[in-house]
Amino acid sequence: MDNSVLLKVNQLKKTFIKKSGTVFNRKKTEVYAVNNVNFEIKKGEILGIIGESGCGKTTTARMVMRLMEESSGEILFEGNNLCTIKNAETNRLRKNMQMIFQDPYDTLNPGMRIVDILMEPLNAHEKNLPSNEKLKRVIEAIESIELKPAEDYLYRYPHQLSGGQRQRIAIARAVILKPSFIAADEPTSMLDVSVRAGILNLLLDLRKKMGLTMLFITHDLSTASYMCDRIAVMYQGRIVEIGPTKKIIQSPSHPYTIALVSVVKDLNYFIENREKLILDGEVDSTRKDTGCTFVTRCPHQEKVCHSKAPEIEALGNGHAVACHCHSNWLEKTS
Amino acid sequence: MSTVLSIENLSTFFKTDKGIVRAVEDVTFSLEEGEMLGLIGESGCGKTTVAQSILRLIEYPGKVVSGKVILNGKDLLKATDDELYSLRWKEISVIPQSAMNALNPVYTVGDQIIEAILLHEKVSKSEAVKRTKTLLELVGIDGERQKSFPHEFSGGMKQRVAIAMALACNPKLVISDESTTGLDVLTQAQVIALIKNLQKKMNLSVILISHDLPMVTAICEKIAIMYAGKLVEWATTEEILNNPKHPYSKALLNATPNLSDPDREVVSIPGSVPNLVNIPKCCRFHTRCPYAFDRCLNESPELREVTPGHYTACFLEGDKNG
Ligand SMILES: Nc1ncnc2c1ncn2[C@@H]1O[C@H](COP(=O)(O)OP(=O)(O)OP(=O)(O)O)[C@@H](O)[C@H]1O
Ligand SMILES: Nc1ncnc2c1ncn2[C@@H]1O[C@H](COP(=O)(O)OP(=O)(O)OP(=O)(O)O)[C@@H](O)[C@H]1O
Ligand code: SF4
Ligand SMILES: [Mg+2]
Ligand SMILES: [Mg+2]
Repeated sequence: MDNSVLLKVNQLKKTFIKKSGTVFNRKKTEVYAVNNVNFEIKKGEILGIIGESGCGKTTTARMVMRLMEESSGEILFEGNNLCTIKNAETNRLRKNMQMIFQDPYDTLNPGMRIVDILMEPLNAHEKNLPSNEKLKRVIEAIESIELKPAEDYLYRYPHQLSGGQRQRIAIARAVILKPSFIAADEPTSMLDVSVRAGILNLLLDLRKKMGLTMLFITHDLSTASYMCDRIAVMYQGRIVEIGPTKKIIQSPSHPYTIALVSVVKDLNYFIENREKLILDGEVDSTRKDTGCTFVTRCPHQEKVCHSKAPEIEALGNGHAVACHCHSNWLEKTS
Repeated sequence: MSTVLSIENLSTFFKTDKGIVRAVEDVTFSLEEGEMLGLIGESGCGKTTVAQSILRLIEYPGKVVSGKVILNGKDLLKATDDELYSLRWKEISVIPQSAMNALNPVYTVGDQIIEAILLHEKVSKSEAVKRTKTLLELVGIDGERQKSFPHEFSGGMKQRVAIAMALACNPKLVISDESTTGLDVLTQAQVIALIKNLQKKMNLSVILISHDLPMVTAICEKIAIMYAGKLVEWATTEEILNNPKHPYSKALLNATPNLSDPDREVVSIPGSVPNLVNIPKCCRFHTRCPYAFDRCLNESPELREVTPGHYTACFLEGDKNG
C-alpha cells in the first residue's frame, strides 16, 4: 500500500435484515446500508462523506471505527486489516483512531465531571502515566479546544456547559490520546449556526497542529466544502461520486450531485429547473440490488440503468463517478 | 401593494417556577400582499411563539401579554372565538412542521382534505372531492392518489399533502413553521420550490419560518431576524445581505459557510444566548456584541427605521432622520 495512505476501505458492505409483517407471515427484507464502498484517505487529509439521511454514512464510520462488524470487505489502517486483526493489536490501533459523535447531549456521561470524562481514555490507554502527568494532559486537552482557563471547566458536569462547549469537550476526549485519525459524524449538526463555525475551525486547527487525518460526515454541502479536501457523495449505500472538493462543486458529474449542488449554489435555478434535475421520489421498500439506486429519481435514466448497477469510473484527477449515462448527458447539457 | 398582516409590539411570556420567560417581547413587523417573508433566528429565539401568537394558539402557562396582530384590518387578538374559527383556514393557515402529525394514518389523504373543506365551507361533497383532486395536482400529486393512505407516500410527498391541506380553503396568508426540517436536502428543496411557485401563482403571502439563512435569502423578498425573543432587524433580502445593520445579523452572516465562497473563513459568535427568565432591560445581544457599551447594558434598543424600509434595533444605528 502507498505509505502516504492512512486508511483504505475495500468493497465494504453492511447488510441489515429488516423484519416486518405479522407473526404468522414474517417478511425479511435486506437493507443494503453500505454497498461495496471503496475509498482511501491520505495522511493529513480530510475526506468528507455527504448524502441524505439513511444513505449509510454513520454505518460506514462505525465499521471503520470497529464499533460494528462489516458484512464483508476490508478496512486497512496503516496497512493492517482491521477486520482480521487480533485483539491486542486492535487495542493499540484503537488508541490511534477516535470518533466524535453527532449529539453533544448524549455522548458525555451526565454523571461524570469533565475531568473524569477526560481521564477515562488516559486510564484505559496510558495506565503507566503518573496521575499528575495525566492531569496535565487533561488541562492541555481542554486548553487546546479553547476553553480557558481549563481549571474553570474541570469540575463541571456536562449540563453546566452549553451545547458548543459540550461538543468541544467531546473533541477534547477524542484528541487527548493524540490519535492519528478521527472520524467526526456530523459534529455540528445539533448546534446552532453561531457556535458551529467555532467547532469547524477548531477541527481544522487541530489538523494543522497535530497532523490529524479525518473522515468528516455531514449532510451539508457548504460545511463539507469548507472542511474537506475531497468529498465522497453517497446515495443509498453506494458512493456515487468522489473527488477533490473543487471538482465536486464546480463540475459535479452524477445526477444526484448535480441536483444537490444546484440546490445549495442557486436555489432559484433549482426551483425553475426542478423537473430537469430530479424526479419526485416515492417510498421504495422493496429495494432490489439490481440497477442504479438513483433510478427512481433520475431525470437522465436510460434502459440500462434499470438492469445494471453502474460501476465507479475514473474521470481523471482523482474524480470518479458511478453513472451509466454521465458522458451522454454531460454532452447534451454543455 | 397592501399590507395583509401587521404585528405590532407583540409580547408573549411563559410563566415557569423560575420566573417569567420573556420569550417574545415587543416584536413588530408586517407582511405585504403576495410577499414571502423569512423569519429566522437560532433555536429558542421565539419564532414558533410568534407564529402561535398570530394564530392565538398560545396555551397556559404562556400568554400574549400585549400587542396587536392585525389581519386585513382586524385585530386577531381581540377577535371572538367564532370570528377566529372562520378566519383560520380561509384567511390564514399553517403548514405544520411534521406532516406525520398533520395527517391521520387511518384515513386516506383525500378523505382528510375533503373533511377539512366540508368543515369550513358550505360546499357539496362532490364539489369538495373535485377541489381535493385539483389541490393534489397543484402540489404535483396525481389526483387519483387521493385514495392512498399517508404511509403509501414518501416523506416529501406527505409534506406536499400537508401543503395541499393548508391550501384547502384558499387562504391568502400561509405560515410555514420549519415545514421542511428533517427532510433530506433535495426533498426539502422540492417542497420549498412548490411553496415558492404557489406563492407566485396564487399571490399568496407567506411567512417562512426557518433557521436556514442561505435558503431564506435565496427565496424570500424580505427577512426578519430574531435574537433571544427580540426582533433585531427587518429589511429586504438584498439589504440584509449587502448592508446588514445589526451586529447579530452581521455575525450570523459571517458564521454561515457559503458554497460560492468556501475559502472565506467562517467566524463563530463567542458566548451564548442569555437566559430569558426575568431578563432585565438591556440589549439582549450585549453579552456577545463586540460593540456593546454602557447603554446596551441598561436599556433596550427599540426597532427603528434606519433607512427607508430597513429596520433595526441597535443603539449604534441612528434614526433615518438623523
Ligand atoms: N442497527 C441497524 N439495524 C437495522 N438497520 C439499520 C441499523 N443501522 C442502520 N440501519 C439502516 O441502514 C441504513 C443506513 O443508516 P445510517 O445510519 O448509516 O445512515 P446515515 O447516512 O448515517 O443517516 P443520517 O444522516 O440519518 O445519520 C438506513 O436505512 C438505516 O435504517
Ligand atoms: N411552554 C413553555 N414554557 C416555558 N418556556 C417556553 C415554553 N414554550 C417555549 N418556551 C421558551 O420560549 C422561547 C422561544 O421558544 P420558541 O419555540 O418560540 O423558539 P423557536 O425560535 O421556535 O425555536 P426552534 O428553532 O428551536 O423551533 C424559548 O426560550 C423556549 O424555551
Ligand atoms: S446510472 Fe442512470 S439512473 Fe443512475 S444516475 Fe446515472 S443516469 Fe441516472
Ligand atoms: Mg448518521
Ligand atoms: Mg420553532
